[in-house]
Amino acid sequence: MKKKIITLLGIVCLVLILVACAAPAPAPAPAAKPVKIGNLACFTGHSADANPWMLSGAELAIYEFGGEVAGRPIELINEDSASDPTIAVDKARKMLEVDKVDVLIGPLPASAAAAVSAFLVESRTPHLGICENMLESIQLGDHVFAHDGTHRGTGYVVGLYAYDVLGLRAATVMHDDIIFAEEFVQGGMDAFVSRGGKIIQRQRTPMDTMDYGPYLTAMKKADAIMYWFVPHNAFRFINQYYEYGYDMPLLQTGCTTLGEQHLRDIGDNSLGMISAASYDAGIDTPAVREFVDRWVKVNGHKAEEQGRFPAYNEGLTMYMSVRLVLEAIKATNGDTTPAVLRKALSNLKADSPWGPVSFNEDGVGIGNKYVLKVVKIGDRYTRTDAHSYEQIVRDEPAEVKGAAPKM
Amino acid sequence: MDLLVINLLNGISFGMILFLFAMGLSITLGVMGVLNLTHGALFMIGGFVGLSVVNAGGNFWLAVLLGGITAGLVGLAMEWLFLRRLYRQLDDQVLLTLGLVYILGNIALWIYGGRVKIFRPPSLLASPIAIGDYTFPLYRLALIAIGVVAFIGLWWLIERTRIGAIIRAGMDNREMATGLGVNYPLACSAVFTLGAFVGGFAGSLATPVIGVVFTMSLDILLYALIVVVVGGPGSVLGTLVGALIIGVIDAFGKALIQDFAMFTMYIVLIIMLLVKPAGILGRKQV
Repeated sequence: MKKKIITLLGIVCLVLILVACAAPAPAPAPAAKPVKIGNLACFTGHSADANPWMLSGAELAIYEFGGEVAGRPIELINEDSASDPTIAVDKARKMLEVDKVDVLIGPLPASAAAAVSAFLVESRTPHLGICENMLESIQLGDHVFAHDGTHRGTGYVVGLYAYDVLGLRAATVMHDDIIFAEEFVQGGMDAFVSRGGKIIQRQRTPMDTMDYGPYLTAMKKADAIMYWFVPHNAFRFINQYYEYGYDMPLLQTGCTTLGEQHLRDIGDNSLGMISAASYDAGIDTPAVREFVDRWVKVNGHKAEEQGRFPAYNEGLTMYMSVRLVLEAIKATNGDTTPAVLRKALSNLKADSPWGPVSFNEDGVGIGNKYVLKVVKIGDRYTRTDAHSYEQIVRDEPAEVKGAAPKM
Repeated sequence: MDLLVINLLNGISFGMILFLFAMGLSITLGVMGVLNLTHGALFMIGGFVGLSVVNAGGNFWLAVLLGGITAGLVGLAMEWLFLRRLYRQLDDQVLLTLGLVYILGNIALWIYGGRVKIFRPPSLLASPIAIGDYTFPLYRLALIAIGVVAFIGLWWLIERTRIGAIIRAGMDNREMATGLGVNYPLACSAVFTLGAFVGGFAGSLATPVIGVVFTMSLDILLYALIVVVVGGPGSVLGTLVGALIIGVIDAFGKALIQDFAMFTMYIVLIIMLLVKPAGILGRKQV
């Protein structure tokens, strides 16, 4: 009897094993839907300078997440905005309707980014600026996030630094005749005048200016010149400024538009030039040095012109845009529904090599702002932090708006 | 008074760059009837080649010369491969040369990257000199001198030599010139190459002042077109006069009436088109 039972159990086990073997293998888990990030890049047009660095920054952020977030692969979709508002909106429409992106970033020119923000008012798809946003675009709705703040906010800290730290009392002003140059410089002028400084002259130059000679000839002498130009124009202006023999301190009243290669071409004349930024590779902290090492590890195989070193801080702002999006998606556990993602971005408190970053109720970034100074380290012309303003709302405070006279 | 002199020098020096650049466009349009919108790209090529030569350790003047020669060879290739098939077909010329602007611009982007670049003038010319209470860059004074020498050379070539006579004959009556045994296609190739050379030469010379970047072709072309319209196509003296008028008006506009600086050149252009559409010294077509 016992033998029969053992035989029967053996047969049952065998049958069970055979059944188990014959059973179909469990179906593979359905591939997770990718998170789609639309990048309105600038492969061409007047902002093409920094594009390789911006791509490198985006790729590094994705690399740091291991290529996926909340179990979903990350897909970066790049389209050329040509640095142009009309083309940027066309490409945004394509990415939204055809590619079905979850979030849009850029493009770099604030005017083009503002046009995209306006286009996204209906869908309220989250939209992050790369560098500073125009105030008007932030006011378009809760889908716009400006982690780098506003133009006036960056200009503001340069104005403060000029008066409070450098002890300058009178400035002459020159800038591109475009809205965001106007905003950068206005923030600096307001800060400078609110402290007691004086603006003695303001010159606006057309965007297509190649020869600044006549403007330089008309420039009045002051303690310093506050200026802001797009990269091509900034480079031309600074070279011609020294060509005409001027030596007033140069304050780029806003973000720098010159990469390290520009500085190298300008040479010793670039030393001491002041600008401001939320993020820069030259900030002298262990966290930033470690970040730069990571960047070089991921991008170091590229050619110099393709962003192997974070020489343009547009690359760093792009890195932060992508990183903040991924942090927010991580917080939603992979839910990229626009309303959920917007809320996650609003509530986000992300760490970064440049300190904590969050958003105020208007979508304006809160974090550190650094005043940068050009220095030479070895044979490299680079920037380092001359001063920092910790955990500020990256916008011009309401109480100083309009402090500078209309000129 | 000093300010007046400085602004006059600003205008003349920028005008000389415009003269050298626009001269090539003027003779190809005036002599061959070819509207070469690629001329701005030839200016850019001259700048980039000059930059490469200087970066490789070459002499400044060699850089300027090689910039011109390279642009001349590119121009010759364009004429030989494409444009000689499109004489008197203005629409096709515009489409072709505009397309080439974008192709050459993107090639420059691949090779040299997207940022504006510069090379320094010779150290002897790198410092400013004092004029009263103001300073003025010595290199810009050198540009004025180079422009004057180039004007004399080009004027002599076009107006006082057998080659110039052939060019002018072809410009006035192509069939008659061909009937008299002039190898007109060869003359056209020579003229086009010369125009491209001068454009590239101007690009190299201008790089220490305005830099060189892949997007500049159409920006600088606009200046040249205005100069040619004001001065009149095909005339060396007319191009010089047109360039100086535009350069000086642009300089004084920027210095004295900044709110209107963007329009001063165009106002001159409109007046010329209304009053003297052939340009100040434009040659009459037979």
